[in-house]
Amino acid sequence: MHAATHSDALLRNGSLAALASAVALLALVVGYIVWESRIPPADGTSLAGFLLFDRWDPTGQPPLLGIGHAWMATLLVVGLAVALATPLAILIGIFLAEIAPPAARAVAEPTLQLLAGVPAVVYGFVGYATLVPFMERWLPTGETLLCAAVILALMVLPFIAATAAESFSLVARELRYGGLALGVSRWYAFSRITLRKAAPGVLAGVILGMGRGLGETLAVLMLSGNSPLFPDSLVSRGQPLTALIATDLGESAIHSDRYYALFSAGLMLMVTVIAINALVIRLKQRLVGAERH
Amino acid sequence: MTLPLRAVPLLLLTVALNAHAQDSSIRIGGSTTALPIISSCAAHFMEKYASWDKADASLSKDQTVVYVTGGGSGFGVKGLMNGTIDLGMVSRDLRDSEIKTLGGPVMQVFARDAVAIASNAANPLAAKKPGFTTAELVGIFSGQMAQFSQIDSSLPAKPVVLLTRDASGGVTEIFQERVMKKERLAASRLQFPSTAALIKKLETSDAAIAFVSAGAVGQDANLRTYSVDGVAPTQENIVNGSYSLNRPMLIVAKPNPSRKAQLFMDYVLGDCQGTVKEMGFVPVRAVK
Repeated sequence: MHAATHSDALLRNGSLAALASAVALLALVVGYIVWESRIPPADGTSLAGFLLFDRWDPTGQPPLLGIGHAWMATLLVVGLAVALATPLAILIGIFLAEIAPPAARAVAEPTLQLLAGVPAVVYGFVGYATLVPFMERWLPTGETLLCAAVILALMVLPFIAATAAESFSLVARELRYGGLALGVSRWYAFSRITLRKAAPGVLAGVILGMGRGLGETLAVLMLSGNSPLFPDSLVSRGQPLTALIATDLGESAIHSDRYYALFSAGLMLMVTVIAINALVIRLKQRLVGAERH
Repeated sequence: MTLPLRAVPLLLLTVALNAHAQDSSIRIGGSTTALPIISSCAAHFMEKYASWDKADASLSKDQTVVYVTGGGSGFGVKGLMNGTIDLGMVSRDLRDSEIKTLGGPVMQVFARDAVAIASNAANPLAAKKPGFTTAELVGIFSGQMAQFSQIDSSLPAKPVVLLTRDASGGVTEIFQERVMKKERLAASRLQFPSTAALIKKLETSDAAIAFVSAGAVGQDANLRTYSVDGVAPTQENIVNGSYSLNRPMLIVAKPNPSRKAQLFMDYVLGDCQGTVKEMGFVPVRAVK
């Protein structure tokens, strides 16, 4: 009796301490990035120049510290990757939740989880060895934003598909059977009941994928050409924000203008991811709320 | 509030460094051009002296371990500053600010290399041009001559693909300083994290042209180099200085290097000079 209360308290305090230290560490990281950021990064640079108009050429004379090209590359690559992956992921989700026999499901679901765990460098290397030479039949270089986006789509696909399948199978059986009992077609029951009910979950998967896509560094660095160029099309080369930070941080002296610019770029990437997540949470609440009426 | 915030990573770093100091190994990092030379030297060094006391009787009987990693010339200096490595490989002269921060480092030129203009042997320029003038190079690498037809009017209007090391590479700095001067490198260039990665791309792309270590290209039968202002990047021209784009390859230590680090530096300037030559670079001492 005594021992039980003792271990209860230990567990409670221990888990509380673990939570507190995790939150504190997170706050420390966020705080450090905010602390080391300067927007605009240097005297003589403007906010608009930093975010949109200036080139990135920190070793030229005078140094230029614009990250507009990197924003554009990130948006194009992640946007296209998610756009390519989402329809495919929903189809996989439908198959797994509605059509696949249990045996197929038992194989497919762990496979998806395994795919989600493949390191980025492997995807990057496979893309570099296959897709890049393939695209070079038509383009001056196979390294393009399109190439990076196709491989990134493969990387985020398991995340979106697994979440979609889970959301579909979580929709209460009574609801679906109730629909079918009213004599509607299987497609009607799926699209009007299951899909609607599961939409917030699917959306969460899409956002999860987008989050992974925004943060992905190595594969996009290898496949986009890592050119500090303002992209004018999807077959243009580019340098996503993460690639810019990874390429240049090693060369920037601590507390130099370039260092501040890169930390500011990191801060903006972080703020973007947080903003997207916040938006999703609100969207999800609204969808769930609408479902109740 | 700001002080503890900054103290934490520092504290972690100090802990990590103390762990290093007790190690029986030396750590080397930096220039990816120098990496194959120094890796090979390190392997020979560890073969020759299985334990430290065999290299110098005053040292312990611990097994000799020399770690060699890349990271670029920039890392070779930076890693030395923050104590991540014991010796830095740097393929360019150190900047005054770097020498100041390191507090008068020990610097040894162990080889010379040239920055060569190189392409695949199947590149359309290979048949047309034996070399380039500095002005042409500025035009090509600034992106003003973006098509082959702008370099030689008999060639098709196909885009030229520019390959460069990222800013961490020693070649980039030398090329900017001695060729580009005030002009900026074209934003459309592909940036590679290592010399090996760049050369791999150069081998497979017929439209690509790059400035890259002459020693690293010399090993490769699929690639060719071009002369600059009429001078070819041969060993003789690099040694006598007539090829202007040459550079020193340095091994750098903090002031008062450890006995182990000093032993390895001596080895690089001694027995290792043969390896320097074998790998296509120019040795600084007579090869035995």
